[in-house]
Amino acid sequence: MAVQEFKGNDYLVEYDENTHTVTFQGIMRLKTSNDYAPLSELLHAVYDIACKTKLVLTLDFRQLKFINSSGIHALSRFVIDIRTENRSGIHVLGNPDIHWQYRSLKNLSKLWPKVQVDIG
Amino acid sequence: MKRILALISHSFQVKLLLFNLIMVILTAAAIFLYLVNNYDAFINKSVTESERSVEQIVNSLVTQYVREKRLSTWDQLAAAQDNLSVLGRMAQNIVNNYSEISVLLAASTDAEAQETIFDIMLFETGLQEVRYTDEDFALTSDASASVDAYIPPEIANDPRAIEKVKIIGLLNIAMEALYDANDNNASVYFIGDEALPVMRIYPNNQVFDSLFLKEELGLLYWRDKFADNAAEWERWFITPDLQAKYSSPLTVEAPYVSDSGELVVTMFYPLWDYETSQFAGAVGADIQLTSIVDNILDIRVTDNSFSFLMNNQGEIIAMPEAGVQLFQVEFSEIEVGGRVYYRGRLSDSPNSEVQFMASLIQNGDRGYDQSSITDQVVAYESLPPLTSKNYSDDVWKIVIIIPENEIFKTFNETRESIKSQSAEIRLSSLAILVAFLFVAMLVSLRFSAAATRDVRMLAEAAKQISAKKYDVEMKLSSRDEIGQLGRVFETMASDIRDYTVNLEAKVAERTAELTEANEEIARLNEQLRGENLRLGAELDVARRLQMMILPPDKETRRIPDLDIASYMRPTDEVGGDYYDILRVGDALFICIGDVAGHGLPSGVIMLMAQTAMLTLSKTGERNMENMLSILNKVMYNNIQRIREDKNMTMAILQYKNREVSMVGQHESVLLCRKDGIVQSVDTMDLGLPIGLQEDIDGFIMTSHLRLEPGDVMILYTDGITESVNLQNELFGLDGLVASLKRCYQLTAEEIKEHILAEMFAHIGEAHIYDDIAMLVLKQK
Repeated sequence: MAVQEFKGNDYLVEYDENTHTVTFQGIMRLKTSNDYAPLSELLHAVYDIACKTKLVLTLDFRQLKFINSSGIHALSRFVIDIRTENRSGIHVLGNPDIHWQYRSLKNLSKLWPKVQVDIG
Repeated sequence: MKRILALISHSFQVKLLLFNLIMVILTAAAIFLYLVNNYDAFINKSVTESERSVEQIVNSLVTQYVREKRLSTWDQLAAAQDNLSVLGRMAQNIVNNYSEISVLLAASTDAEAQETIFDIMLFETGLQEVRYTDEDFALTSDASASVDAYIPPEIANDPRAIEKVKIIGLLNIAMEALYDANDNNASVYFIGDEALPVMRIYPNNQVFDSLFLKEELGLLYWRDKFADNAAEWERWFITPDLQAKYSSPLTVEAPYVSDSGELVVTMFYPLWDYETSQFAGAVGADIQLTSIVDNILDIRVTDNSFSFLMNNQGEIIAMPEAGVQLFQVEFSEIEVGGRVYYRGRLSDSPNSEVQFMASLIQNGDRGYDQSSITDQVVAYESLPPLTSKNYSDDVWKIVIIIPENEIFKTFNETRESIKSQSAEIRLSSLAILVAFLFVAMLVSLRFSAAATRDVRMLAEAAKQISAKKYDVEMKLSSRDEIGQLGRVFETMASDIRDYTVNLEAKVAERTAELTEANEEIARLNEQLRGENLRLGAELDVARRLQMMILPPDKETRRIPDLDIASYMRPTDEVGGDYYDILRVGDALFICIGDVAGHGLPSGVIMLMAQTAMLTLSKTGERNMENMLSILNKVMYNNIQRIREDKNMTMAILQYKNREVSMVGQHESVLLCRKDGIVQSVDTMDLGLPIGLQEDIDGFIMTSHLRLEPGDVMILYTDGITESVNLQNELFGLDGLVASLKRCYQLTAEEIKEHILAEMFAHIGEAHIYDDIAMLVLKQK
């Protein structure tokens, strides 16, 4: 697959084929939604693979210390998109010690119940 | 010297050549020296070995030769002694029977009739008187007698003398035969005792005549010629020890020169009267040494070799002239008993070498010596001892002297020829070596030239290129690394040539392009500046619009029951944070929201939200959940239309008579009761982000609370709680709460200032990432 990671100075998003997990690390403060487009592409691509292999995609946010509102919006968009496709669900892992995750990740589950969110 | 060093360091060819030469020269020189040394050592060793064996051979040959001479000489001397001994023993027999024979003789002279043995011719001794003075006469036999006789005048009248002569005549039987038996006999004779020294001599050489001529007619033999002998002989006859040592009484005199000039040695066989124990005369023989000496001297080993005879006292018996000259011997003439002796001692030679040789020979029995006399070989052998007159050993020695260069002539010649030949070989080897080196040098030159030709060509090509002459063509023949290098060089050179040739054209081309691009850029820059200005102007307008839309302080201050303070700070010119306070009848609508992102699009959406909210509030709708639902639909559709990809959080509160109800998902609402206890009202379940999906009805919920006087409610956006300092530490809800707790008793405005001050203090120099908005509502 073409893109296996999305990274910048302060953050790293990488996909592990063997565990079907996208791991987020660092701090993401990209300015606009367009800046988050590669992330959306990555997420869609790996979701596609997971669906095709009948395995569950996992998004691991436990090491993501901060993401700004544009980033959360991009994640929300992604969930709404896959809700529309309505194929397999996804698994989301959160860190109870990171404050933004409680609210924003819960919202993902609200958007689509097939998003299983585990925080802590 | 410097020039040479420079030459070497600048030329690879010279280095290579030098290296070759040094290697070759070193190797060749080493081999040559080694071989020559070995060769020399070998030759020297061979020569030394040969020399040694030749010396050994010469030694054994020469000593053998001397030994032969000794044997042959002794043969003769021994024969002479034996010969005399026979005569002597015969005479002794006669002496032993002298009295009986005397009686017999008397009988013959007395009786005329009876013939005796003495009458036969053989024994006939006719004695004649020979007068030499008037008074004196001697008696001698006449010339025709075979055996000479002589009675000296002093005893010529004594009848006993005549009797003795006659009786001794018995020897006549043997005298001639014995004389002939030894070729060296000069004469044999009988001499009577001291009282009657009569003489009988064979052959008959008329002794009277010679005596007469010498005026020695009065000769008394023992008294005049051999005075000491009788006493010595007497010693032998009376000393058994002496007889044990010397079995025969025969003695040999020292050699002397006879009247005829011959070297002669006289031997005596003494006789003894056993009845009277007295000396009874002697039989003697004069032995000519000529042939013996000739035999010795006639040694021809080499041309200049010679030999000589000497005795144990170092006196020369016979020596050729060559030897006398060589050894510087001086002879002195001595006369004893009428005999002439030539005495010369070898050890009297002034030459120290000769003295040394003399003592060497005297002290040894036999020997072979090369060291005593320079350039001479000395070999000597002792004869068995002769008995001297006083009964001691007289050992004669035969000495051969051979010049070294003559006896070793062949060997020396060979050695010289070997030496010269080896010198020749060495020279020719050296010549070959030099020729070889010369050839090696030529080959090295040729080789180094060939090997380095390509390198030099490369160097030349490089020089040309650096001089900007790019048309290099190198005909490198070799296929080794240098050849490869050359080909690469050529390619590089042509590339460089292309580049440089085209470079100028390319530069010109590029410059033209750049100029064009530059002009384009300048034009675009102008455009941008224009647009920027316009944008700036537009943003300026938008910001002013935003600020104008916010509820003015004048209005908020006029609200009864609530002390309200507000604050908005966008990060960019236009922010995404929104709040509003709307009076609708007796109720108050308080909204707070946060559009995702910031900048103009967020600001536009914020304006749209404000308009929508205002519209709703004017419709008379009081159901907050409906309001939120409709607001969401409106925002969702508009956001889609303007093709923005954004959402916003939104919380709507309605305040009436101290009752507060709220809907919508936003940051938690802080409520600080008048006693200082802070409550945090979570809004997570009260809604969903606005503009994300068209329908959020299922997620909307209402929450209620009641304010008491003194209670403070804070509404804020995440710009406050998510602000960070340089260490990336969040101000956080905790920071906000803590700040509120410290100032809740103040007025709304003061509380606002206080909280903001603390927040900005926390932020410090760090960057502010998000818009900040806050509403402080204190129940009066």
